[in-house]
Amino acid sequence: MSDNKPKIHAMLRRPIDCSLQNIELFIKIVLASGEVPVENLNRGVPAAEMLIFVMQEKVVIGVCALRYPNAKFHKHLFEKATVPEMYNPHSLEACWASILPNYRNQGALSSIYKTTQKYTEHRPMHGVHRAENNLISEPIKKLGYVQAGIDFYSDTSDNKLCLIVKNHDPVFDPNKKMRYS
Amino acid sequence: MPKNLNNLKTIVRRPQDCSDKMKEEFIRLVAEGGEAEENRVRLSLPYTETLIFTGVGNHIYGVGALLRPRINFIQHLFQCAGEPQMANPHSVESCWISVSIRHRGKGVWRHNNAAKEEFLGNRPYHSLRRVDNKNVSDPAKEKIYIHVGKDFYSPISKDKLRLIAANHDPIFNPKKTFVYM
Repeated sequence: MSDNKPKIHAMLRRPIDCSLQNIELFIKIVLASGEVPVENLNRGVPAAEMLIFVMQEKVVIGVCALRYPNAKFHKHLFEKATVPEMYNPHSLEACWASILPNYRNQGALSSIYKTTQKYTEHRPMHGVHRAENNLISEPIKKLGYVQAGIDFYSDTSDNKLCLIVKNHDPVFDPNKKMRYS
Repeated sequence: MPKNLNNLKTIVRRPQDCSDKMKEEFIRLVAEGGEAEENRVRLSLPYTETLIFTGVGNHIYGVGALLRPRINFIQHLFQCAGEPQMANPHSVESCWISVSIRHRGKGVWRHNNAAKEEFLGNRPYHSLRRVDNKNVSDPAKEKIYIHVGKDFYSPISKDKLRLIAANHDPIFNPKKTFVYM
């Protein structure tokens, strides 16, 4: 029996290489998840390191981003999780993951992971999600992330939050940096 | 001959970590240099990787930036210079270098440049200079750069341009990437 489901694939684009329409579409899809204020996206999307678009045939069904967050906020997260020694200014945040409701549980998240793996495999990464967001919290563990410290409340959200990391040293080593090789 | 300023300090900061006041001062100083249009700087500033500020105390005397240009634009520049095989999509552009007219010849630019080199390490980067801008068009003054190919005209400018690059392989190697170490 053949599987006639349209294939899902993801692609990486730097914001500066995206058209204005693609940037607007990215923001619209994140807003559909209801997790991020529009002001944060308008300010933050152009400054992202990389945008990820998940496609089913020619339709964008989900997005995600890699970015360097504001340094104060970044430190604040690791302090709140009670692991300030793990704070790493080189760590990219995987954020704004949003899959349109009709397309969830069809492999979009693993498609994002596969596509970004080559780009992120050597880099320290982190992410934060609602502790009770099971759409993210379970699958993300299979993708190599582990929880850093404890769940916490922050001024930025009414929800309890969970900080997850990948490729992070237990204690930040200031001698390490990104090298081209 | 003016003396170098004492107590110069340079900070390398991502735009998301800069206050609005710092960004406005950055734009003002670049505009003062007269090499880039204010509107273009304002539009592209969110896409920069880092802004580099040099000054004494709270006073900023010189700035520079590292911009991740459009990949098409990188290819265009290296093609114009007659060396398309050197185009490297990982290369950042060192741009918007400007020192306040009152503080030129006092070591500000050198201080700013040293911090940039320290930040970049072995990463590939490039810069575009007007050939007629004798202060900065000679790559021998900045030992890390090589002059790429030949000087050229491009639709982006009425002036003859010179492309200089650092840490670029003679032929781009797609297997090279960034490793955290």
